[in-house]
Amino acid sequence: MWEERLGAELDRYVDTLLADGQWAAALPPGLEELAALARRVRWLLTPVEPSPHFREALHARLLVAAKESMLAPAVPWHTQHRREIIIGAAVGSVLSVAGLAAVIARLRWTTKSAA
Amino acid sequence: MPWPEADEALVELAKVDPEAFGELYERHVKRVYNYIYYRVGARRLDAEDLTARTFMQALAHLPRFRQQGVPVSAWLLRIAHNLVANWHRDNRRQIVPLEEAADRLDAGELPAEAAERREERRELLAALAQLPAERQQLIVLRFVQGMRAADIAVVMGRSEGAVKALLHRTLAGLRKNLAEAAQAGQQQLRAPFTGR
Repeated sequence: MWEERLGAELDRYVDTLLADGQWAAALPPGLEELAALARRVRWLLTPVEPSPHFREALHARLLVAAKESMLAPAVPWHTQHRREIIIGAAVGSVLSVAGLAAVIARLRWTTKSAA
Repeated sequence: MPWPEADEALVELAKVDPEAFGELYERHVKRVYNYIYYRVGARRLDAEDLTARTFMQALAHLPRFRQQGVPVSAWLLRIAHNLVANWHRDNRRQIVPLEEAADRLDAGELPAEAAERREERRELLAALAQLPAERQQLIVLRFVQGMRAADIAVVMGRSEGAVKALLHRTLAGLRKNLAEAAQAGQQQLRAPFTGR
């Protein structure tokens, strides 16, 4: 819990650093060293730009790849849903056999009763 | 027709329109590149390679992407994070020197200042590389990307409070690594004078 509290103080300080880039006037008490380190990290690790050549080349590659994947023949629905079809057919077969057995059993019982 | 402002709508469009995926790429390439660049020790070529792989994977997984309350940026960063983890695993046994960003001069900076900053950056990146992967991730997302703790929590799959506590532990760990490196450097410098 205390670490969450300290972390929250530090996080607020980092928000100030990132917001205006200035050294914040009020350092969180007991956290001066870590705050100083946060300033150093902020100063040293600045965002970098990918090279324009790389950026454009990758954009072109991705467009080609995207077009190719969209032109690829669609997988037929019966191949896409093969598993469901097999399970459905199996369940249907079992129910059919069970239904037939029930009809035959009932017929026999009816015949026996009539006799 | 202008592109939708919301990334979520753009992703749905990208599933059927390659140009829309291109727009998605343009919106997020700098963020993904920056994340990877600092996670691989400022090695530009590796950063470019992994950035390319991130977007290729995103494209491959696009048809199966489902909106589940996770921002598109978080989805892309997770792909990048996994690729970086694999990269570290593959490079673990090699001594991988940090790449010098030799051509990099920040605006208004003199070459001497740039050299000093470059050296300090190398020290910091070396200390950062010794931290566990998720702490490195936190530093990059918080300081380089400027993401807020609440958004980082979504990327990392943690609570906002846990992210803030981790920030404290991470900076404390970084301070320790830097102090140890400085001490090791001083010992090396002293050695010739003591005859050791």
